[in-house]
Amino acid sequence: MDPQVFFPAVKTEVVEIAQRNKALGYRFAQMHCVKTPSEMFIIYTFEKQDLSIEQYRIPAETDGAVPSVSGVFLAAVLYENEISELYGVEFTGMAIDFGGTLYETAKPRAFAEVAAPVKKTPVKQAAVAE
Amino acid sequence: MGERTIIPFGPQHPVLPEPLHLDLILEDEKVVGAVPSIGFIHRGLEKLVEKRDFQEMAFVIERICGICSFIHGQGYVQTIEAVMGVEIPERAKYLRSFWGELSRVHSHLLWLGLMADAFGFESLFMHCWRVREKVLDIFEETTGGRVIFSVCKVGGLWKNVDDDTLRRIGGVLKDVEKDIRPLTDVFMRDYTVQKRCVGLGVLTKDEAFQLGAVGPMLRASGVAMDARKLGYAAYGDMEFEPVTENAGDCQARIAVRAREIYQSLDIIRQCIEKMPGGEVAVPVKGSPQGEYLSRLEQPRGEAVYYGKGNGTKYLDRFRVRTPTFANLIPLLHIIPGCDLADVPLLALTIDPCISCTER
Amino acid sequence: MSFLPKSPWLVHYDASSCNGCDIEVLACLTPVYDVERFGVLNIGNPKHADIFVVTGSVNEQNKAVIKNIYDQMAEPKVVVAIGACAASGGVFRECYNVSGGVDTVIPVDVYVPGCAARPEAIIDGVVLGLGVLEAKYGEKGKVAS
Repeated sequence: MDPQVFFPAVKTEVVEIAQRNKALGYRFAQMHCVKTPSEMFIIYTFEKQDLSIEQYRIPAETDGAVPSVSGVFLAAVLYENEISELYGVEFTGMAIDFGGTLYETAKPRAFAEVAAPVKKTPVKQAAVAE
Repeated sequence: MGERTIIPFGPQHPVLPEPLHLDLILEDEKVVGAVPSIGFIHRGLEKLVEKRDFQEMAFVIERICGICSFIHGQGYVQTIEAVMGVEIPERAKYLRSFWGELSRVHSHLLWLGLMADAFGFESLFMHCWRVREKVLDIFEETTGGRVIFSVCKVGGLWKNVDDDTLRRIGGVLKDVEKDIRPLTDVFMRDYTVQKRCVGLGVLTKDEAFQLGAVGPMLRASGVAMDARKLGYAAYGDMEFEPVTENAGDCQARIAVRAREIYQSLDIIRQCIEKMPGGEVAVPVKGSPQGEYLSRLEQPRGEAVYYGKGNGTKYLDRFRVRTPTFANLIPLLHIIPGCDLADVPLLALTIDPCISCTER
Repeated sequence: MSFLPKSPWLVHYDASSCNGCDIEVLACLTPVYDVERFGVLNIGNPKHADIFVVTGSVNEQNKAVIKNIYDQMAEPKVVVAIGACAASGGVFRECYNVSGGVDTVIPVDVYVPGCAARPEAIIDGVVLGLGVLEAKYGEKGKVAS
């Protein structure tokens, strides 16, 4: 399995990274957000025709703003809308803005709260009735 | 300049097996724009990582989609195995490729049938699904389930298949190939099919690459990208090349998927011939710590799986980027300019799996 | 014996289903299981249908659609909920966007368990639904002979 390298970057560099990668022949593959009790970041993945990828990790926070890369790669639009709806991160300058109606979930910003893991209670062995 | 009307398409529609809503903006009968509305299948299952431990989560991820079910399960366990550094036995890798390629055959046959139904060729739809039943019989014999198998686990597989059964299945698949031949001949050469599909929904090579198309949508425009070439599971030992066409229209996508069925049957033959012996699972101790991103080739395209563990038995995050999510923007790009009667065909040409898209 | 259960027409809707049960419903209509030989048609128009076949659990966006299709169907009508998700939410019942099975929105007459439900079980469920359909027609005081 190939080792995974996530280049760290900051949100102000995102558009420049996207433009640089586009010139090198990469295209936008995907982006997603990860939120844990201790940190929150967005991962961008760019892909080339020979299947090699380059990934970047950008720290982010709920209610923070990140510049949108949809001006460089239109494909990023759906991913950014999804992250902004589920995590509450605002992307400035999105080419198509669904305004929070992409999924219309029952619970808004559902992924922004990170619950403590459910502790499984040990199953008590039932007493066998004679 | 005609009048503009807006027609809602979906979510309940005879030709669409899944709910997808498109607001089509029409000028007379030509579609000039489409505004999608998704979210009918959004269950939010990625949040279940907090409630199910990493072994049980495999069953939830498998149920993202019933058609692409096996490869979702495979993608999940492969990612967690990479995070934990677990090396699974060779036989498990070969069996995963075997079932994965059978999944591809059944999915493409299903799609060919639905496409035939969409352009009005109902008897062809029935024939495709009849042949598909033989593939489902193989699944049922080897795994116990027709649609959702639950055979992948972190560390290998839950079930083994013995060599005699595999040899017999090889014989059955030769008959299946003979049955499929006349059907694909109709798809590729029939005059009525070509009248409907040639020149419809053209996506050029540059557009396909830049807009993020994956899978047959991309390969039909001439870009030879196939995630199986990364060599995961047993694909490193198999000989195959990505199937491409150059026209980029609906007919080219039909041709790519039809030829991929034969390619998959050939890979299955190679798997059965080269199948190594041994166990199919290794014991797994401990919990995942770390992160990994892996890519697999679903029948619909490249799927990306990202897993992050924090050392407890509940993962921090598991994320699935499914191929239809990436193909939605190209769909919105090819719809303007077509007739209203062609919209179902275009919606089906990306091989939509809305339950995959929305998880 | 009425004519009503002789050739029931279905309208099929996929609420938040993973598709497994839906392709098994379609597999019932294609060769090998083939219920079309009994006159069962998968019709797309709710106003022409007798049986409403629903798969999958219910989420926020689906409630209005399911109610809409159910209200458009003519009496007597039968609802068959297929699969574990339609019965109670299935594997996903603890998800934030899932409110439960189909019976949270409309009254269900027949539940077909399974994940995914097998075609044999689906046909069994539809046949049970036919009995319910005939009973409902009889309740209206009209028994066509």
